[in-house]
Amino acid sequence: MRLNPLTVKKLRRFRSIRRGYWSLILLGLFFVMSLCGELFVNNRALMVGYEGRWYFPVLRSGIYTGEDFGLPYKSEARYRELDALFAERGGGDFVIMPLVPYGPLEQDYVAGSYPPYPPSLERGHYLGTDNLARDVFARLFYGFRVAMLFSLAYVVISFAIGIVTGCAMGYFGGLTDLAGQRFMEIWSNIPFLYLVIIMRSLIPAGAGTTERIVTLLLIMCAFSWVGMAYLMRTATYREKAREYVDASRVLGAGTFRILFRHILPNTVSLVVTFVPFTAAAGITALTALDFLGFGLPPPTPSWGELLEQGTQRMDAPWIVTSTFAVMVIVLTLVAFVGEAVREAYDPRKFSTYK
Amino acid sequence: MKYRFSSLLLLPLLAVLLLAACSDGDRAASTASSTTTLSEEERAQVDAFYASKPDFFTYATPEALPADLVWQDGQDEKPFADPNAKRGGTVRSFILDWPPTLRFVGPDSNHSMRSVFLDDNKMSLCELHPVTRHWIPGLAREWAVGADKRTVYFRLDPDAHYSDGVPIRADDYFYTFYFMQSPHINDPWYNNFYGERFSNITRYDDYTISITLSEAKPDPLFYTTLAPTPAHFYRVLDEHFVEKFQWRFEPTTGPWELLPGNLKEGEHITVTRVKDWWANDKKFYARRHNPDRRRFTVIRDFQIAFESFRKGDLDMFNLTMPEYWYDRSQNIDEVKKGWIHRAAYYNNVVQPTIGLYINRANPVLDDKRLRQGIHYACNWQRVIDFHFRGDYARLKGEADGFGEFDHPTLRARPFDPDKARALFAEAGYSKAGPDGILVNAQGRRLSFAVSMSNSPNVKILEIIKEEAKKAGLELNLDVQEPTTNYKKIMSKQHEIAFSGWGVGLPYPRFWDNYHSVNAYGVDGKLLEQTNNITSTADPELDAVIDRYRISGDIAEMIEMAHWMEEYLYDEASFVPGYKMPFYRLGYWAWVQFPEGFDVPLSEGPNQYGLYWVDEDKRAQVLEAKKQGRALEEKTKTYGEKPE
Amino acid sequence: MRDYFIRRFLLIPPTLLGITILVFFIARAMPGGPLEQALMQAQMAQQMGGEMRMGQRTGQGSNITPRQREQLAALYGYDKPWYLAYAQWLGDVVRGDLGKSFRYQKPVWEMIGNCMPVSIYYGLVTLVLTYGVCIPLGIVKAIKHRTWMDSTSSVLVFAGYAVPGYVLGALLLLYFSFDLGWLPRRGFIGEEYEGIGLWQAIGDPAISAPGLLWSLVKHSILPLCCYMVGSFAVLTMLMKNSLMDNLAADYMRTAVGKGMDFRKAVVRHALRNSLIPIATGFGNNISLFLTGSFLIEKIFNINGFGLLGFNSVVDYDYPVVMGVLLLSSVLLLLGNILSDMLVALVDPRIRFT
Repeated sequence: MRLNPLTVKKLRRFRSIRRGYWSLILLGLFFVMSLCGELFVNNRALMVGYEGRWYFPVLRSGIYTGEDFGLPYKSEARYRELDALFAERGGGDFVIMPLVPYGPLEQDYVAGSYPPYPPSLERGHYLGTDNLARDVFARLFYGFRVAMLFSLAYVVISFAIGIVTGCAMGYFGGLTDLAGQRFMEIWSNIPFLYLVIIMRSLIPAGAGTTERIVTLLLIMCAFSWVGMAYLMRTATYREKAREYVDASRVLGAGTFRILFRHILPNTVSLVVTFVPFTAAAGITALTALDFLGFGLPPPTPSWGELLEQGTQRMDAPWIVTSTFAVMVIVLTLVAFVGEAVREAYDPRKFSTYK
Repeated sequence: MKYRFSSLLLLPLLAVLLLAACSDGDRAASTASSTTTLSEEERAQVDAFYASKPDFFTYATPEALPADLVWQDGQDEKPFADPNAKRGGTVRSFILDWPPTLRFVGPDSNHSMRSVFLDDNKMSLCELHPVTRHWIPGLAREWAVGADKRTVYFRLDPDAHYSDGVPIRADDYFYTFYFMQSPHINDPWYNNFYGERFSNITRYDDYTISITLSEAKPDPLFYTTLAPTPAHFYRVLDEHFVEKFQWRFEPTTGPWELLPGNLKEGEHITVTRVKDWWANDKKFYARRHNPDRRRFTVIRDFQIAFESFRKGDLDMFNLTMPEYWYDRSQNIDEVKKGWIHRAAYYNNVVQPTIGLYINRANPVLDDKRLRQGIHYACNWQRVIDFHFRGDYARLKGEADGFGEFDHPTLRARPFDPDKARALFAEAGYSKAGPDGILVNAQGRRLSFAVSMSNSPNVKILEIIKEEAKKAGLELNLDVQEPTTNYKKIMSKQHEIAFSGWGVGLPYPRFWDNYHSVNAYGVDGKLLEQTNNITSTADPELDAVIDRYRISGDIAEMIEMAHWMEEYLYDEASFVPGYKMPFYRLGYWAWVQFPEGFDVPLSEGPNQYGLYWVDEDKRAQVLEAKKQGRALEEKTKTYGEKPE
Repeated sequence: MRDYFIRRFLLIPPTLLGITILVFFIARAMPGGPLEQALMQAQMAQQMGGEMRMGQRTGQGSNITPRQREQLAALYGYDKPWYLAYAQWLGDVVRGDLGKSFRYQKPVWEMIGNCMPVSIYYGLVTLVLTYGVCIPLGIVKAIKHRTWMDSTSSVLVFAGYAVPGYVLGALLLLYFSFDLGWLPRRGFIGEEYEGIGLWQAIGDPAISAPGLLWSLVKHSILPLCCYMVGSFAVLTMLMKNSLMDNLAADYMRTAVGKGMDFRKAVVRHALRNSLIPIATGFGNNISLFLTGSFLIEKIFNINGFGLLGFNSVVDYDYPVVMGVLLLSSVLLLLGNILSDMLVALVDPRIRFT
């Protein structure tokens, strides 16, 4: 694949910005890890050797029941118990568990004591458990995956709408601008919570988790593009007033050429500056909605739900502290990346005056 | 106007807005009314209402009283207050929300201060003795149950008067029906209660009345012990009622009143003890409701309220929730050093029917075996053992806490995945899909939506959901904002609903929840807005419910109740959840409770108001706290923990 | 130009009309509402797990007849089709009457007025402090690009941005006010100063003005921290980036190359141009700051605009919802015009037509 030399230059410049570059590497690593998170954080075994046969439960789309491993129950095999059982029994059977042997939904109650359980290396709850004895690390980890996927889609959709509308308004001005502005003014004033409540109630009761999440995403995007559109409108106005636009128009450039060749590239730095903030805003908004109980459908792992539990359980500080820390770290990384991207995309070099 | 100094900085527009702002909202609660009696004209209007229903409102003379009445006065019962209780002092507690109104009826009257203003305050004709459950006098000094088991005769206590000094007379009871039946109060619940349940009220003289029920009841006193409504305060009702009385506090018959100036909107509200409360020296009311004032501060966050309690800003705090009883308060300094005492009170009250209501109108769920399977697939014991720390208990069934009406042997089905799977298999769901959820021959997954409102209770269902997977059942949580959820359930659009009904003494009721007239209309369509949310419609059950409703014989009713409980157990459309047979409190050591505190009917410390505040002790405890000196640690248990 | 702004002002009423019609319609289309809430109260008579105990005294919930339902519907204006109800509301608004709260039966104006002083105080202080910090910080960061000072402040503002203010509020309150006892636990100002007006404070020798001010600062420091913690990042970076753009522009090189003092060149030329994007956001921020955040207000028990707005939504108190909406919309619309005026003011090249 051959890259445009300009792009190569930008990439090189981006690499030279250490903080942003390493933030991206880290974030990317986390993200890829979370995408194949089942290999690292899961209550399903990576591999089971039972009576001479090998099983790979984590790779299978369905489940193995307890009966498959000679246990007297028809629900999914409990691999940690199985592990302990095989170890006790001796022989060739074995279970290999992931690094963190808990799933995000699994409730790991211990008879005689009550959740939230504090962090324990021995039990493998490195960050403790929440109110329902679910592993905080696992919930944070899968919560990260949900949040990242969610906010990526959020940025793409809301920017696409925002840029198109904003550009059109700024470039065509006049009636388009007026009508667009009126619409945006009306639209951005609708109490967001109302629509969330309405749309939630319209989802059929039997809908699955994914449908619910996508609906939520669309509702949020329906509101988030307005800010971008305002910015693009002003930026387009500014660019349009410049001589080179007039010049290219005199030279016979069409509307599309002017928009895509001249105005858009010149506003890219502005747009890109807002990418990290919008991504972060997506995560923040999702978290806030979850915090209020109007976000992701339970029991989907989510940061907002953990924060809600954590603020209600200040006596179990591991919940709120770890969630708070993870959230701040991830969002800060996102912002660093964005800062660096912005520098790299800036077509002008930074000037130092002595 | 307060905060005015910030206006220096304002933009002109905002300044205009600021000027438009009214006073800081100290809308005084006014109890004063111009006169203590109705004018001729007002009198005539109210009388016209009575005259329009001559069968309902009857005037008679004392001679008309049946001669064979057995008058009772409850004086054989023992008082239950502590003779050592001291009057005086202040108790500070909190409310999570500012009450929207001071009215007792009408829209939004079900609010955070309701129990303070009304339920634990306003007196009725008779009260239940909280220990023996026998009747003791309230506003009535004597009462007698008529031979028809429908009519109850009352002689009002001539000492009784409202907090504004106006005596309570028979007229106030006439007026109560005028008031409660009025469309102007905009309260269907009261309209229905006072409109349907009673058939007559008769005035014999200023202090003697009888109230007649529409249907005979084994113990009609339960339904006729009404509270009076002060005619001189509400006067002739009109369509402005709701608004007019939004912020006016009714003169009360009870010990607590709200005086003008004792509230600051959104911040705090203080009720004070009625000066010379008429029941001060009555046998069953002396030494009760002891503090001089009770102050309620708005704290919108429970946790912050608890921290305020720890700091001593609040005197009493409800520690019923397990996390507060154990994790939060067990090992803190204030408790260890004996500055804060704790107590658990096991009571014996009727339990709301909390659990899963399965909608039989859904064709898939209209299968008894499937519903029974769902019963076995719900692990309530796990919820109770871990989420509620083993303190709560499993609800027995439709009736729990009604004494002999409770079924003697029948208990809710326990969690048993194998039995559940066997029943699901009978219903056709015998194969497990790849995700472990059962499917039937048509490929339908055994998956249902549980509709519920957005509240901390979602956590409970998350446990049930996770455990149900073990039986091959998937429950999707359909969490909605409360009114949306309510509408969904009331239009019977749910598959399964997690909900609870309030229940009342003296007998369990089956008509509202299980009679077919509340399930389907004459056109065969599902009825909306009725309490039969399981859409149960069965002629055999209907027949028993109808007989049960009009029966006046306790033994027969008990027998029928047991039959219906067995029947409903078998039909399995209600999965009984949990019950909470106690309440728990934390209080600073200067708050004192009677030594052998034992009132099994109480649901909170203020219901019978038996505690008192020792202001001398307050100073001592505060001094000890200042010096870090330890006092005696006290955590008490009152009553019996049920098995 | 003047015509343009006049036109903009003239466009405010139709826009408001659009907003209110849409929200009124949505409110009516809501699956649940005040009517359902009233029915729920009437029918269930006891909320699960709540404090209410009507059940104990008065028996179980009851069914509701269609006639009663109609009566309640009329109480909330649900007896009319939505457009008629809207027309009625609009008629009242034109006469300056925002109606009465369903829930509190109080004039909406009064309820809004009651929470205005607190909201304006917090809004203005936040606004002033945010701009006061962000603009200088952005300038310094642009000039000292890629120095340790730039990096450290970046880490700080981004970390601040990532902090959810509502969680921070609970943490700060529990730690500073309850554990350490350094700051007051509740209230807007010390009780001894409650209900004192400005002129009184100046004129009355018995009241110590520094004391009053100190009390105010002590009470508002934590809420202000929560309000502001997240608001630095966007503005600071906007300021920095836009100044950097201008620093790299030819006219700056020329100016400095011709020997103009760098500081002067920045202040005279670059700064002015780089304020344009900042100005764009200013108008929108006015309404944002005023409306506050109900979660923070809830934790600190501030009876402000945000809490009023949120509570009215969750309580279905539609007259209040509409009143709050109207007011915040007016602010937003005026803010937008103000933004454009500022843009025109700082950059004469921009022509609005």
